[in-house]
Amino acid sequence: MNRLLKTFFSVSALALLSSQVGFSKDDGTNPALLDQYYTHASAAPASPDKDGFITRWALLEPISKPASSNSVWIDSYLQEVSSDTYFKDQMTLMPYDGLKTMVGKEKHIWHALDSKNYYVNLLRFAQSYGKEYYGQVYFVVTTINCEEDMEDVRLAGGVNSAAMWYLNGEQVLMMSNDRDLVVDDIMSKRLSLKKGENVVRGMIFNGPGMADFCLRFIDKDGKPVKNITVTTALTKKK
Amino acid sequence: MTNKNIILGAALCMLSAGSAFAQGGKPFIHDPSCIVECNGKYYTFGTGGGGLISPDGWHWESGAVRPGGGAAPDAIKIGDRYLIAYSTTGGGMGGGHASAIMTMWNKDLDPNSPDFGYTEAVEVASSLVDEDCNAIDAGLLMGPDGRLWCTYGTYFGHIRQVELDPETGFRKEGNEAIDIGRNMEASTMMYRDGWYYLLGTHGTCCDGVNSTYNIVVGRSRNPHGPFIDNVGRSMIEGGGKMVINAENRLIGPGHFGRYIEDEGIEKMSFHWEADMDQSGRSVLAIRPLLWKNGWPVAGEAFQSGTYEIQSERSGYALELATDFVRMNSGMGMFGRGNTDQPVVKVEQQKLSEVIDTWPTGNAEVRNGYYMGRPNQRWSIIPVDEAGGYVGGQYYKILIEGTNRALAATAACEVEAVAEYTGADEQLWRIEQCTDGTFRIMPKAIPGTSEKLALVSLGDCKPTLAPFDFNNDNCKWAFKCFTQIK
Repeated sequence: MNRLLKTFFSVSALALLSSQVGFSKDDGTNPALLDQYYTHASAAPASPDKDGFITRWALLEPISKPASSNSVWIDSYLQEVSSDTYFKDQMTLMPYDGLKTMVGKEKHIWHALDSKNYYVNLLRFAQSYGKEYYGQVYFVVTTINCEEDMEDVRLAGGVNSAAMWYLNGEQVLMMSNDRDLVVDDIMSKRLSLKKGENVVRGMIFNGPGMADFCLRFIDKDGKPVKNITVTTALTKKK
Repeated sequence: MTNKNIILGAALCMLSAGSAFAQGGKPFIHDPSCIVECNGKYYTFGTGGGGLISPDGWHWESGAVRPGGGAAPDAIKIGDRYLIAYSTTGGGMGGGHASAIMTMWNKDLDPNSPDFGYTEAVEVASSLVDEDCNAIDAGLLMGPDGRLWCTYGTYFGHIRQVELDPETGFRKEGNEAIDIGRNMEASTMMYRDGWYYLLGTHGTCCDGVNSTYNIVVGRSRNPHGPFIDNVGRSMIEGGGKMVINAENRLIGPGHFGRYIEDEGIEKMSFHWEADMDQSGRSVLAIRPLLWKNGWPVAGEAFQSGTYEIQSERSGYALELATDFVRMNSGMGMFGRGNTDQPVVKVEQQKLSEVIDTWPTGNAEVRNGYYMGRPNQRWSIIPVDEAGGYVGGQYYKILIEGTNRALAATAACEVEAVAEYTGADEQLWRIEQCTDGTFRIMPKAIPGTSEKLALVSLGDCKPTLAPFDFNNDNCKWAFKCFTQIK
């Protein structure tokens, strides 16, 4: 289907669907909707799902990044907007559940969540917290814990619509152009996961339409990496 | 060029014939044996004694040595030795139908090797002057059960089969020759997936550009036949499914030989009775051997041209990673506006319109939705001085209209270097797989001797990894825009 028609229909469908899923509270949040897609992360480390997908993330309430069409996310523009500063320490901050981050003069809150699906539905996340969901950039962070160094792994995933991914502070994967949520759509070069904590940080950009992503590590034989744990902080580290 | 003019399917792009199909060097030979590899060199033996040697499987020169004269030898490697079979006469054209099939061994086929030296030839089959058989044109097959078969014969009567002892090369004691075919020559057998195949040559031999030679096949579950063709005729009744016929300026294919490179990569050797671009001389040919519905099919020689290189995994196209530059053609599908307006061609996006937006220096390559854009059009051009491999030569793969070349990196990834230099990591081996797809391998990878192929990891990530025929990640298709003459 033509992309613009697809967008039109998806907007209409989402508007219809969101009016049917649970009820928004006075503050605009919709816990029932959130419950369909997420559970709150626990203190115990999580495992990747059966196929290695990372489902535990700290998600920041979305930040406005207007885009009338997802065709804007070409390589150079994505590189440019992912280099912009949206909030202080955005590339080093280790969020915890409930942390408030100032984006300009607005408070945005981090939420530590486990997705119930192999993918992370950011649009439903935004809706659940009563936030705008089109024309946004979503910041996501998680920590991968390894018992030993792991060489020649690749970060692999799919996104709707575009994303930039960082591993331990280094840009490792660009998902440019107007993409769809396709498992292993894009992969990084060979990477190393070090023993201990490894931080994966992502910026997901979306104009109109659905916003979601899936992500996992693949080993040198092309198999999903599952011998890791995934954590997000629930409280400020002391 | 318009989309309408884009010819889809590599085969269509490869149809024109010419000397580009011939092997490199001086591949002049008649009735070539199967190609055998010995200590890194390749050998084939022909009628009259001698044969060809190649350092790489592409460039051939005379120099192989086979005593005994006669016609149409075959060769097979058994253990660490080579068994050569040949016939003592040239058949009816050589003055009668009394003949004999001889076998002999050699440890090393390089005449300069200290291990070179043939054992005394022994007779394993024969025909009398008044017999309905002509014992020439030997073909050898080691079956899956370790039994060694030899077929022989011409149009003068029957094609016959005897069993040899793979330890000695002698005829198996007590073995009786059986008739397995008729109305052909240059017979040989092969085995695949529970089927025995009998190949032979129909048509007229040895008449240069007027030779009507063509290669046919039948198959059987039993090594003794009956070998039945695709319409149910037995080859002992003259049946046979065509494998390859003449092609434009290449006339009279005959004397099939199978060469298995890797799982899923097979070649067939034969001669053209006449290459009209090489004085009409008889030349060695090597083509991809494909399999379709259980039947062998001759693949096409790869042709220079500008192609989309399409991942078999995703259908995505290999491309230089650049910004997507929109074309301003409006939204035609909505049917808005004056429908009486004339229909006009929309011009293809041109390199000059986008190249200033491309990254300078070495750049990433990836797979993306195919849009016919300049960053997705690859010119594939043979590099004569770069040598080759069995049946093909190395190619450079450039973004059309530029010197940006696909290259392997020391990290076992791929990129597009800004300027082609002819370095080995910028040269590519392109081989058709048995299912019609292609394997693409760099000639060399900096810092490693490992043999890796271009592979899709994820839909959009091309990289280098071991080739696995059973994995679509490892295979590619070529869709042709234009041929390069």
